[in-house]
Amino acid sequence: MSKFTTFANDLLDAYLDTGASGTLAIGPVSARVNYTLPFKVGLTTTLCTAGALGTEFTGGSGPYARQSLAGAMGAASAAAKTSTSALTFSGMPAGTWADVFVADSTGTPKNVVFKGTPSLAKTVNAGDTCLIPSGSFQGTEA
Amino acid sequence: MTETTTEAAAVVNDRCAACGQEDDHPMIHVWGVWQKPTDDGLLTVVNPSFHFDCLPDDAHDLWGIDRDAPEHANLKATQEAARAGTHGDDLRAFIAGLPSDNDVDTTPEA
Repeated sequence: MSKFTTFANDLLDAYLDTGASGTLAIGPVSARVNYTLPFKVGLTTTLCTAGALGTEFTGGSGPYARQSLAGAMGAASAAAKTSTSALTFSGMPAGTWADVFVADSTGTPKNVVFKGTPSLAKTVNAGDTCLIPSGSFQGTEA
Repeated sequence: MTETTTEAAAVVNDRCAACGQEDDHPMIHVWGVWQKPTDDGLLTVVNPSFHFDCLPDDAHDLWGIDRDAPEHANLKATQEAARAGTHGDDLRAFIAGLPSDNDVDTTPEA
């Protein structure tokens, strides 16, 4: 089975929702799972896997914090959804920037998607800024 | 930073993609692609890093950096300090003294 493009677009607009508040309910009617907006982008020092988040940066002079996706992506089209503004993480702690992920804003955030291998392998020194330019952050559905 | 040329790709992390210097000045690390102008045309640089004062002027438009947006306030302030001659540990101290611009409200105005 393959997804029709319109449905793929709908899926992307759901799990990469750029709303600033509210709840995204996913799953069967009898067992909805709620994801709290805004979705946020985070950076890790090790690669994420489907089963586990990588080791997330902490601290720094910023200090490091997950960045909101609110208003940062355009509507999905042709089974792809792409960032339309830059995401900056200033005052980073030292470490190796390996991966990027998205999670919701629940008290114990639910992980949504991640970039994964290969590692970005960027050496970050204290005080540096990590930048995800417009167009670099993209979700796709096959 | 990975530079894609006709030669084998090299991986260097701390070299400024614009000026080519390797040092300990604070940098901006980019997940993305930069087309670096050279005498031989455009060199594709994957995941480049830049000194704050070496970030190309066209990067702001290319990469969606709104210099007046609150979430980019520190990048703007640091870039201006670097262009005014503050580098190395002095620039790192300047950055450490900035108020946080991480996790600010990015909701577009209605």
